Amino acid sequence: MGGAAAEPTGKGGKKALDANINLVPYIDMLMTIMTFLMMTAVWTQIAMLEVQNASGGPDSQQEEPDPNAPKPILILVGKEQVVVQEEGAEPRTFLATSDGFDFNGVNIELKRLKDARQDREVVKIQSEDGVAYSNLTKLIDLSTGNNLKAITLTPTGQ
Amino acid sequence: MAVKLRPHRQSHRFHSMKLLGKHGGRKGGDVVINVTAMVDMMMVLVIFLVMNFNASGEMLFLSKDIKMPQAEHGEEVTRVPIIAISNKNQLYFEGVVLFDLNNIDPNDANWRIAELEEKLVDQRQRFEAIGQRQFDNPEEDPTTTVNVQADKDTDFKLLKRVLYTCEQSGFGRIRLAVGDARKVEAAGEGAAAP
Repeated sequence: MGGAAAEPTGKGGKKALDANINLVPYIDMLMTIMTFLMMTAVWTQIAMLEVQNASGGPDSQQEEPDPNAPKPILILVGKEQVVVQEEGAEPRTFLATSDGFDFNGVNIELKRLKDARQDREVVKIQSEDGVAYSNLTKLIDLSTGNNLKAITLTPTGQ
Repeated sequence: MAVKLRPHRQSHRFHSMKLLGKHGGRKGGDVVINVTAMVDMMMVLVIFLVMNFNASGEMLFLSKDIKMPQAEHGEEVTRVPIIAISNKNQLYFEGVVLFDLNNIDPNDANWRIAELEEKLVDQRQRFEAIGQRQFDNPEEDPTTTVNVQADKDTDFKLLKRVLYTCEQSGFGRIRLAVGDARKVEAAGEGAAAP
């Protein structure tokens, strides 16, 4: 409970200095705010990962390729392995273990390829049938985290 | 915060509280309840709720049949058509069951899902009938962008057909819904803090 100095009475006599503050409206207000916030609370936080040309349809970028432009990164996702390579270069294979894919290794390889050419942005993810959505979103997430923003997701063989 | 006592007819329970004298004699009837702890608790709750408050509201249809994967580098959700795939391979459009993906023939070379295509085309026509609008952010354009929300174990065999249908219907900008791992971690750290 709050306390405040009482007004002097002018009679010189002693009087209790404690003053009561009515907390009822304050508690009512807090209860109202709490009820509103509880009713409007969003407990599941959702985000979005964007992919372009996600189905293997006609590619929108049909322009003549610039020979000086960095080559895109290819990520081939199978049920038991992930292969990462710069287009036309030596591939690196990351085999799946009982704990799942070696996403840490994939992340290091993506970082290495990005550091080699900072202007590189294109990642082409090709997936086999049977690969879980969570594995694909993880790879897209790793690519986005390495500032590789132009991501395509297509089935293998497209 | 005073509680006024009636001068007579108190219950046995009241007497057992020993607020009156030993022999039932009269005593000061005011009982002060200390509300400081309650106010403190409410303030902490209000601050926690205000910090978690999200003005953009709930845009996706959350279901117990759809457990989304987590990601750390996702972008903000925009209000565009929502396609969802549950763990029972049910295809939803804007929260309504549209098609059972278990009925798809896996050897069918035609990847289009006619029911979904019809809904998407219809959706675009509706937006165009309302009037074309210029969007500063193309991710907010409901005639070219679609949100795809799938269970984390959804097979790419089914997902590719949904994505293909979206693209063939003119929704080339596809945004995959994920749980925001950054906010989950931040909330966890906040809760763990003393």
